Amino acid sequence: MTSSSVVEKLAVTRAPSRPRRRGGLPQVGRPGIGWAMPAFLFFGLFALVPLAFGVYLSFTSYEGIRLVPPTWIGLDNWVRLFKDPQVLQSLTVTLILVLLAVVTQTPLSILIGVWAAGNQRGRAIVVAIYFVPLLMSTAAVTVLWASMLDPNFGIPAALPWLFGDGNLLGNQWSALGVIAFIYLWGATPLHTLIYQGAARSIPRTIYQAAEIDGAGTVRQFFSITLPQLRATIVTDVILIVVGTFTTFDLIFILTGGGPNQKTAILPFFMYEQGFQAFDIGYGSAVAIVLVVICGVVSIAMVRLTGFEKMESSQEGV
Amino acid sequence: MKNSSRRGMRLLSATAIVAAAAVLAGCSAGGAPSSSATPKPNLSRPANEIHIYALGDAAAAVEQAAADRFNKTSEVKVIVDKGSSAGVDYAANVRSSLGTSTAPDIFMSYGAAGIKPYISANALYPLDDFIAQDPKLKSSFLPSVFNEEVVDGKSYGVPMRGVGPVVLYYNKTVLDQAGLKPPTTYNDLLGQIDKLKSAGVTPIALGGADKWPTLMWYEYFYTREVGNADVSKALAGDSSIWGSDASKKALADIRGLVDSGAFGTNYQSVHYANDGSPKLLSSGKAAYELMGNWNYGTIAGDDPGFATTNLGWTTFPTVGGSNVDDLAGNLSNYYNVAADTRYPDTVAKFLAALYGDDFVKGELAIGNLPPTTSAGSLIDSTPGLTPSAQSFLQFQLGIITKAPSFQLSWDQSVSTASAAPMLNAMTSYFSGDSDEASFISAMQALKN
Repeated sequence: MTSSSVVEKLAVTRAPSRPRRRGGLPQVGRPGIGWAMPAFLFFGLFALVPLAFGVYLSFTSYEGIRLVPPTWIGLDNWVRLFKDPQVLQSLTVTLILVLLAVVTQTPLSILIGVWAAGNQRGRAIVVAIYFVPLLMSTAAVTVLWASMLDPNFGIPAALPWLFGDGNLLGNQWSALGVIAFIYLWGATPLHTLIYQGAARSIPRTIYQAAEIDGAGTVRQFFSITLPQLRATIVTDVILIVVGTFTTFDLIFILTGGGPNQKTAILPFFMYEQGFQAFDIGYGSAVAIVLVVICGVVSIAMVRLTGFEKMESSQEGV
Repeated sequence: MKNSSRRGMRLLSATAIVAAAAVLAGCSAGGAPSSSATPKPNLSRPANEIHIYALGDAAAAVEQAAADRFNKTSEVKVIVDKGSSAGVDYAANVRSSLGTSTAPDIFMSYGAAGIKPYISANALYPLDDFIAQDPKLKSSFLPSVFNEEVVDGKSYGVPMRGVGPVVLYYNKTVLDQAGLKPPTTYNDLLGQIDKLKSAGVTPIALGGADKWPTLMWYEYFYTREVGNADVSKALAGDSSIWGSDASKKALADIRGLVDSGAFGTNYQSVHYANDGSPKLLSSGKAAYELMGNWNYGTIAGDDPGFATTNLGWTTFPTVGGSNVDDLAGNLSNYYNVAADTRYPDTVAKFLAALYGDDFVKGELAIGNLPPTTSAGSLIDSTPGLTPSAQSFLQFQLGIITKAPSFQLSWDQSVSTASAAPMLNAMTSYFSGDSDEASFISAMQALKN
């Protein structure tokens, strides 16, 4: 028996158990749609259905009592939303916080992440300590910071030359600064972890070649590391943007939206309407606005950065 | 490769967006609504059990002890489920569970405004039949407190836990060192501000980062200048009262006090919790704090030595000579019953325990003064109370008995839709961010 006849025989033997697909393309390595069903089901049940219900509620008046069903009121909530000055203020504050988060967290995460990807002496210990905030819940961390920032018994009282009377939460800009700082402290380790992983996957050979060409550390960072991290930066910035857009617990515990609603970002405003005033219809409209904004911002960022045109960052190596 | 990565990215974006949507919109979903017919006993509730949803603070232990005593002789057992210790979260949990088979049989409220939506939804069990069978269920409580949850002639709530008048606390040592006595009039208080400031202390501690402590200053200035009867009307929707001369006088008093520097410059960064404003008082960094009766327990828990020796308390100063004995604060908490409870007879029997001596003594032991007619006579015989705690309870009993009227805290008196905008309007005027006209128009715009 020749080798080709063995192949033919095997093919014939296997044929009944592997029906030919349309087009006859080999299916090896391409799992069927059935494998995705659990994920689709989960996604549909816990993402699409609640979203659709949220959209429905935004057209109703509903007090959150099951015994009294939502009443259809058409566009009333939406008309009110576009006239509500607090919505514009909340949106503005949200955008400011997003901007603050991106400009503080991204450079710091990249720098520490790239450093943590190396093999310096003592690096592992420093990194382990640095990642501690990741293990703590935002709520617990915020309570801790609220206590530490007390103007009379906290850090400001110990450093009056730096903090004055310590009225950090008493005006909008210092309150936003404090929020951005705590968010930076709590969230940077996660982003650093992402950059650390990405930096480690950059082939050493590129750096070796650069060294031969006489490039120093700074030149290597800007000419090799940053371009190679481009895809990661886009993904991570989207994470920061969407994460900041949906930050709630920090504001809720630390400032309660104060002073005078000037740190009441959209998710907090949504909570006030939905769960304090029990105006669930209006709260849902605010929620949908948030969903749309997060979606538009994510897609816009992907388009503007040309992220979808990117192939593997290692191409050409 | 290119197409598949683009598809992958789109899918990733879509996933992120819709997941965010699910988190945000999903939490607004209240579940499928059912019809609004009058509920009947819900047989899908657990058999041979009634569930009490208790506010999850220290006082829940007293309810647990009452349930333990009750269960020794009852076929149907009382289960105490401890909920959030924050009133807002607690109320949200009750609201979202009503009408389901896992809703509590007995749950807590703070006054008529909070339960009105439930009454409209036929979700509450009117207690008049219980009272007809056991008149002490009503007569054991102070009428002014009990009547808060009588709506359209029907009783819906039984008072429980303690009364919560707001009083002016002071640090005896700080006042002694400054050569001052607790003020009896507003002018007294105003006159002390500069002396206290020059002594290096914040005259009045205020947890302004939490909005509700600021509310207490409005409540008392309005009680004195406007009177509780008109305050009630204003909170019920009589918008002319907010624009009255008396209202403007109260606002001017508040402005005068804030502008005198009574609260220091950083009160908006001070919390009531986390060793904030109460510690300002106990550490001697502040002379006064206006706060509910629970502040005694907070301070005693933090610094028992200070509470028993150097903590003083008095009524809010008089302002202009009117309404001098009127009070503001929390009347009490109330237990309500779900209309579809499976075991109304057991519920009625358990509610009777709330006026029993064992329960009242349990509340007294943790510093709460229950609004029962028996509480006063039981203070001295309750074991474990320090002389200071006994003295504080007797003080509360005295001012409550003497008060011609007791105004329920404003945020509990208005509809839930109005509470947040009201607190925002108050903190805004207090800090000087808005003026008298803005405050008045914000209060007139509240929904009832």
